[in-house]
Amino acid sequence: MNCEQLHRRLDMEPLDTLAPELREHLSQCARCRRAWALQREMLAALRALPEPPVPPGFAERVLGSAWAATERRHRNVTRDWGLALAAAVLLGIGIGLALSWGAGTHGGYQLQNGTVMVPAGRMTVVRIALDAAQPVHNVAFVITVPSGMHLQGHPGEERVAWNGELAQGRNVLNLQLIAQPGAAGTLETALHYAGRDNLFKVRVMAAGNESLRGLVHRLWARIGLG
Amino acid sequence: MLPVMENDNRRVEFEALVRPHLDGLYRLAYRFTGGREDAEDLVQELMVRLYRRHRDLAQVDALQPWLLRALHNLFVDQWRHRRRTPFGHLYPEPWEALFENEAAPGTPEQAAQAAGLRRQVLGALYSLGQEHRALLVLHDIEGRGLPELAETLNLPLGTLKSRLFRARRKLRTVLGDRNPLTGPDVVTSEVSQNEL
Repeated sequence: MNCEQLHRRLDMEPLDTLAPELREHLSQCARCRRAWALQREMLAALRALPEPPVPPGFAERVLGSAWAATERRHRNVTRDWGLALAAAVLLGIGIGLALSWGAGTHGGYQLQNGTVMVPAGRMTVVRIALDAAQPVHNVAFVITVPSGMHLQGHPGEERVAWNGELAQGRNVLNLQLIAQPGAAGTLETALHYAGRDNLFKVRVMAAGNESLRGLVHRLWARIGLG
Repeated sequence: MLPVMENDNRRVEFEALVRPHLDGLYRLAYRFTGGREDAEDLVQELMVRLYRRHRDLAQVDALQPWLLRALHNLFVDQWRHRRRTPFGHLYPEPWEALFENEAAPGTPEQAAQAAGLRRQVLGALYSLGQEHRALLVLHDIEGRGLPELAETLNLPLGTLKSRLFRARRKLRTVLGDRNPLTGPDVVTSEVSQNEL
């Protein structure tokens, strides 16, 4: 048995028990012994991985999403019966915050009355769900962030644009948002596809060291209400 | 009124079928995707699809392996298309979070070495394509045998064997490129001939 043959066998055989010919080769070849040891450690490390804990409320969230998605689809079907011709070109992309069916914390941010509250000064992932009724090619994506915020890797850029595609079903944009203390405004996700535009806006507010009440007051002042 | 009642019944029936399997599906999805949010998205998408076919689901005899296959196929065939954005893959939740409350075995040096190797292995595992990664998860992490997987996934045993061969080799290659244990002068992991 040569080294290549042994390596092929290592990739196939259980390593707990070694066939005599493997044993013999290993006893004579330091390089293969290292490969065998690495393989053994690699598999032991994989087997030792802990069981991932199931997050609280998981079952309710996924079942709730099944009910909601089906009801949404029924509404769309009803509407599309009356718009049969238009349905041929309507690709049915829905945009919303991912995991937004329940209030609470998602990916480091909180939803409060429809406003995404993000901690100031550190990166937060805001998840935007794009539900496509069918695959959509040649989609132009444009993300516009509020003043005082930027996407990780795009400092100083108010807009980030690219072209891509959507798979059928749920597509998730993980927007890595960094906000300065006190920054607030509207985060926009715009799609342009097949001659159509789709825009989703969500209010985003950065929570720094100051109180939420102070932030709300400042936001109101910024938009001319306070 | 009738449509509402029908809808309620449908929900009850569907929930009774799938709820006992949701935790297992989540754990498998976590291992497939390597992150909590992606795992939740994957199971969620599966449930959305299955709920639309709930009558078919009620006809399935052995639901657990059927659901495993459905999740596997969704992950392998469809998940690869999900991340074609500049932002999609940049923030996987680290597996390390799962180890935070785990008592470290042995000496601090041993614990550090084990943690280092684990990081390397996980990094290598999640650099593989979906097909290879899924098989390593099912076979090498969950300990399912190839004959069982061939039946569950409805794939030829020979296909799985060659896929496992390629997956392990890729993993070892990736790991070999990164892992200091494979350096020519490092002998900490080298077994003595006595072990043979």
